Amino acid sequence: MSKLLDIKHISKNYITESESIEAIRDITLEIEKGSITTIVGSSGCGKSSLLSILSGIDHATSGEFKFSKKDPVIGYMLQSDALFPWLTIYENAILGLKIKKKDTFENLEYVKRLLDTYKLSEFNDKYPSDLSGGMKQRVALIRTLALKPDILLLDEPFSALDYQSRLAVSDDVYRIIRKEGITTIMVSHDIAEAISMSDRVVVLSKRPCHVKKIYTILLSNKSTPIENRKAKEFSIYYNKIWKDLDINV
Amino acid sequence: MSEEALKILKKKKKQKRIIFASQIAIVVIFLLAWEVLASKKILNPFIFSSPSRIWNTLWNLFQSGELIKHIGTTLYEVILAFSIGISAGFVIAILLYELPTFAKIIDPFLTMINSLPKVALGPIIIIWTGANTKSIIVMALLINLIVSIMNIYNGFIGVDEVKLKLLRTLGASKSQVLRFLIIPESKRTIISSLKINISMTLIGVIMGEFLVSKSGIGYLIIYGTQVFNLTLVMSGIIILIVLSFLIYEFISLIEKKLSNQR
Repeated sequence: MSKLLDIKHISKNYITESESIEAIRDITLEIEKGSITTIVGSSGCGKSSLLSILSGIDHATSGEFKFSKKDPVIGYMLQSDALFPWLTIYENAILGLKIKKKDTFENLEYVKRLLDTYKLSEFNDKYPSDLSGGMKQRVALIRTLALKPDILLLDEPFSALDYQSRLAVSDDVYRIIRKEGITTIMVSHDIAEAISMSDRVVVLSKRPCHVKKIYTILLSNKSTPIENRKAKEFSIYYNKIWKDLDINV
Repeated sequence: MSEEALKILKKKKKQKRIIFASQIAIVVIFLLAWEVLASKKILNPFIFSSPSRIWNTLWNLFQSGELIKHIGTTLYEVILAFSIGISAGFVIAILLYELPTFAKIIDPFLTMINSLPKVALGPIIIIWTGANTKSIIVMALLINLIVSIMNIYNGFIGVDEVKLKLLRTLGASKSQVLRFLIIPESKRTIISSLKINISMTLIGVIMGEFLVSKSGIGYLIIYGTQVFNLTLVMSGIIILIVLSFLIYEFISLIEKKLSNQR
């Protein structure tokens, strides 16, 4: 696999009127094309800040990151679906295309196809309030995929869902990402989710966060996230990452 | 529908009817008591007037065409000041949103103007704009504009941060953020500011008519006071009550219609 993204010595300090808070300290990572990398860490450690920097809506205090492709399209999916309640499902799905003025016939057809593939086309004229939490999250993913991103940044995309929906939607999202072959960086605080969905799990320390360990996930009979949880190596990875995270309960 | 649900519906309908009948009864009893007390001279009819005297005055005003003229004048001023107030309020709120530093600079001045009793500015406005309709409109604008700006602007800055972040990640320009998120999401705030604005406009117009006017309901009330015709004053107040109620209901209707739209 070739390298898509090279993150070098990224640090981030937030400056308030009274203090300077160090959120990220010297993070260096390489992201392979087509891979799924999940970043885990305790809450508030700076995981989401890293995604904000990579998406371009925030800046690093020092360090840099480089994509191997010129002007890559970045898709960012947030913790909540952030669907606009006054727009229909179809209008929500094409929002990114409209904003980027890429709502060509071909791209709109692509969105229709995605909605159809993921069993949402019958809700095209409905509103987000008519959909379940899992369905809304799928629409949010289609809105992101509509732009045909080179890299997908997922910021705890299932955290707003209940446990069962979470399992089902993560399975769906995994299938979609794999099928479309999109390089993905996901942020999660759920160790099981990270192991079951990813090729690599990056463990971050507490704030100021730095890379503590990187695990390449090698599961026998790698399959869907739900199936991956049954693999015998799953619990070994789980225990190791749990230890690394040093979670005090 | 189940029998239980029908029972609850029936109970609710009955309660609605009781409330409406009670409201009518209160008005009828009040008018009757007022009429009887005034005719028995227990209440001085010269000072307190009576429903029949007010009715006669209103009828005479209507027959002479004066009633329509005065209502027309006030309505015209209200509609004009309301339209200018809400449009200017909307545009200024957008400017404040787009220029946050400017918003911070003028924030204390807006608060100061808002807390100032506007009637104190009445004499200056008359000198500046002349004793005509213009000064009435300016007076109404002084009262409704700041409230409109503050309400709409607060709606703008209170939008969902997550949706704002989403648009930023999509690379939306400032005008796109306004068009796709700020304006649609603040629709409710804008609609509710219509209600506040119409009440403020009416206060401003009547206040303006008190200070300078040759017609309008405010003029009718102030003229009645000057010639000590308390029946005319009360007739003016009654017209004002009915007019403000109708205007408020009209705005509520618009609010309902707009709220039903997504």
